[in-house]
Amino acid sequence: MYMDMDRGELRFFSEAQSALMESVLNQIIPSDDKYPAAGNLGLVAYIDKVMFDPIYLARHDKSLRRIFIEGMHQIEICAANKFQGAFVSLVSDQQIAVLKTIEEELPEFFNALITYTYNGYYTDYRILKICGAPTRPPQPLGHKLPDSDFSSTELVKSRGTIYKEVD
Amino acid sequence: MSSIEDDEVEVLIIGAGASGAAVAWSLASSGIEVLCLEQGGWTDPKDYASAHDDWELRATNISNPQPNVRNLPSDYPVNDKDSPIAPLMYNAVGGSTIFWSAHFPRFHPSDFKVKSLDGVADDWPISYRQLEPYFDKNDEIMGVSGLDGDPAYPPKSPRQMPPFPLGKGGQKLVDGFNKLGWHWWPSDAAINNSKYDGRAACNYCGPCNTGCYLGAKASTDITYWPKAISLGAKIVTNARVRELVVGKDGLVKGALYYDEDGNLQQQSAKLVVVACNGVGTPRLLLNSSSSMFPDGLANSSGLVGKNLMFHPYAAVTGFFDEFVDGYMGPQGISIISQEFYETDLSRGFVRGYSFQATAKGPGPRGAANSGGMTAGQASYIAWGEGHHDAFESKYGRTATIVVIGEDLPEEINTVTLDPELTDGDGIPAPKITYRMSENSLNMMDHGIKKAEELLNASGAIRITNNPLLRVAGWHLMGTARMGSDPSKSVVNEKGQAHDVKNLFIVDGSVFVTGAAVNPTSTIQAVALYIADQIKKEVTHL
Ligand SMILES: Cc1cc2nc3c(=O)[nH]c(=O)nc-3n(C[C@H](O)[C@H](O)[C@H](O)COP(=O)(O)OP(=O)(O)OC[C@H]3O[C@@H](n4cnc5c(N)ncnc54)[C@H](O)[C@@H]3O)c2cc1C
Ligand code: SF4
Repeated sequence: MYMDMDRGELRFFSEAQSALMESVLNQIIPSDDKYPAAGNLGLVAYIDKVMFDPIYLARHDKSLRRIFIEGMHQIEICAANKFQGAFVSLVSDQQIAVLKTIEEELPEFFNALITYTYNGYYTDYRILKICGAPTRPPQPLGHKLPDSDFSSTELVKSRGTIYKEVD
Repeated sequence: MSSIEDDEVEVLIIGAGASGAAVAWSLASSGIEVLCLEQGGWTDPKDYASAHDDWELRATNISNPQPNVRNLPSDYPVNDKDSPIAPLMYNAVGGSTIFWSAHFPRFHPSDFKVKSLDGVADDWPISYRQLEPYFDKNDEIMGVSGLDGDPAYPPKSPRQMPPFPLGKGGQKLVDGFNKLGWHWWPSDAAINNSKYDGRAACNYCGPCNTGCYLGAKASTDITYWPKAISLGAKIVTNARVRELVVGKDGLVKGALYYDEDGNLQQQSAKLVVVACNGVGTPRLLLNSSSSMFPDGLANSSGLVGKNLMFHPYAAVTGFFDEFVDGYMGPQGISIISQEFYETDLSRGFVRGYSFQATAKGPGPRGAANSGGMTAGQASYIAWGEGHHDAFESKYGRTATIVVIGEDLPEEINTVTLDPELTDGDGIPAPKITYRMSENSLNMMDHGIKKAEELLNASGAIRITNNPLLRVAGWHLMGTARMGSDPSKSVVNEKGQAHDVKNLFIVDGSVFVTGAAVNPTSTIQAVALYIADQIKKEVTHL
C-alpha cells in the first residue's frame, strides 16, 4: 500500500504541493496523545496514488485531479489574501481559518479532500490498530460471534399471531 | 447480424439472476431444453472485496452496488436523475444475488390481497397458499437460516439452519422490543449458518454486499445454476440482448444479442422467458417494438415500465456508550419486526412497514465518512480539533433500524427508454422517474418516530435519522404487472404475456404490489410457480 512509497514516487503533487498538502492534512486530522496527524502519517502519498488508480478512484471522479489543483490554488490565494503568507508558513489558527473559508467556498473540493483523507487514514493498519479494528481484511479469517439466547421469542409468541388470514 | 442459422431451443431465458436461475433449474429438471443469455459473466470469489486489504475502498467503486458507479463492461447505465432512490443491481451469472444481503422474508398472505383488505391497488391473481409449495422448495435450494414459529406468518416449513447470533447491538435492540412489547423475530437469511448443500458456513466476516468469498451466502450462481447445468441447462455469458424478435404470427421467435466481441447474434426459441429484473425487463420489452407492437412488446395495456415500486427506506441510528460488535456478522441480518405491518388508519396511512434491525455499523472508514450512520448519510465526522473524540464516540457504537415501507403502485412511477443515454453496445438505457407518495411520506414519518422510541428503549444515548436513503433501490418491482384483465396488466396469472402467448415474465416486474419486506424469496417462489405453468404450455407450442 501507499505506506511503502516515499516522496520521490509522487506522480501528481509537486514538491511544493506535497508540502502544502502535508500541512493541510495535519489540520484535517490533527494528532492527539493517541492518534498521529494525517499529514505526518504520510497520507499525501496515498492521495497522490488515488489520483491515478482506478481501484481507488470512484469511476465518476475523473475530474478529481482538476478539483485538487484548483483547491490547492485557492488555499494559497486565501492564505495570501487573509494573512499575507504561504499556507505552510501560517500559524495553526491561521491555517484553520483558511481551511474554514475553503470549506464554505469550495465545497466540492473540500468534500473530496475529506473523503480521501478519511479513506486513507481509516484504512491504514497503523490507525486501525489504534482504534481497535481488525488489521486484516474480513476474509479469509472472518470474525467470531457468541451464540445468542433466543428464549425471549417465547414472549413474542405468547402475544399470539399477528398476520391476517385471507384465503 | 450473423448469417449462421442458429439452432432453435425449446426455452430461451434472458437474465441469469435470482429468477432466471430458478426457472432454468425447474424447467431443466422436467427435461426441457433451456438456454440462458446473460450479459455478465461468472464471478470469481477471489475477486470479491472482502479478501483484499483495501476492501472498504473497493466497496466505494468497483464493488459498489450502483451500476453507474461500478460501470463495468457488463453494466448498463441507468438515468436516475428524476428519482430520489437510485436503483441497485449486479449484472452477472447470479444477477443481483451476487451482492445482495440475503435477507429472506416471505410476503404475507395479506400482501396478495390489499384491494380486498384495504381498498387500495389491486389483489394479485395468485395467493400465498398457491405459492406456499414454491416458497418451501426455494427455501430448500437456497438454504435458509432462521427460527421456526414466527407469529407474523402462518407456520412455514422448518428452517434449514438455526438463526444467526444477534451480537451485542442486536441484543440491546431485543431488550428494547421486549420492553415495549413489540413483535420481533430473528431474520430468515439465505445464508448458511452451518455447512449446507456442499457450501461453507458463514464466518461472520461482514461485508456481504460485495460478494461472499466463502460461498456461504446463497447467490444463484452457486445454488440453482450448478444444479440446472448438471441437468443440461446452458448459459451463454457476455450476451447482451438488444431485442426480442416477433414473427408474422405474433409469437416471439427469439432474441438478438451482442456477444462478447460486440457482434450481433441471434438465438431462436419456441418460448422466451424474460428475467432481467424490474428495470431490465421493461427496458428490453420497450426496446423490442415492431410494426406489430409499436409501443413495445406485450404493451397493449401501456403498462410496461409503469407502476415501478422500490420500497422507500429510512434509517434510524442509535449511538451507544459502548462497543457493540458493529462490523461482525452478515451485514443485513439480525432482526425483523412486523409490529406495524398491517393497516391501521389511525396512523395516518394505509398498509404498513417492517423494521429491519441490522445492528451492523460501518467499518472505521465508513464511520468517519458518514458520521457513524449506516447507508448513505453524507455528513462526515468533523475535521480538526475534537476529531478523534468524535470518531471514538461513533465508531462501532451504533445500531441501525431501517424502516421498509410498502410502496403502492402508481402509474407515474416509471421505467422508460432514455432518449440519449445508451450502454456500451448502443442499446438505449433505462430512465427512472419516481416520486414518493403522500402515503409513503406519512408512513416513513411514523416509522422513524417508532424506531426512535425503540432505540430509546434499547438504551441509545443519541439518535439520528436519514428519512429517505438514496442508494437503496435494491428492490425493483411492478413494471410488467400480473392480472387477469389484459387492459390493466401485462401478464396473466400464469406469468404469460397477454399479447404474446409464448412470452413469459418471471422477475419482480410481475409484482402487483410490493409488500413491506425484501422481495427475492417471493420473486423466486413466483418464478418457480410460473415455471410449472410454462411446463404445461410448452407441450402446446
Ligand atoms: C446490494 C443489494 C442488496 C440486496 N439485498 C437483498 C436482500 O437482503 N433481500 C432481498 O430479498 N433482496 C435483496 N436485493 C434484491 C435482490 O438481489 C433482487 O430482488 C433479485 O436479485 C432480483 O432477481 P431478478 O431475477 O429479478 O433480477 P437480477 O437478480 O437482478 O438478475 C437479472 C439478470 O438479468 C441480466 N440482464 C438484464 N438485462 C439483460 C439483457 N438485456 N441481456 C442479457 N442479460 C440481461 C442481468 O445481467 C442480471 O444478471 C438486494 C440487491 C442488491 C443490489
Ligand atoms: S458475513 Fe457470512 S455470508 Fe456475509 S460475506 Fe461474510 S461469510 Fe459470506
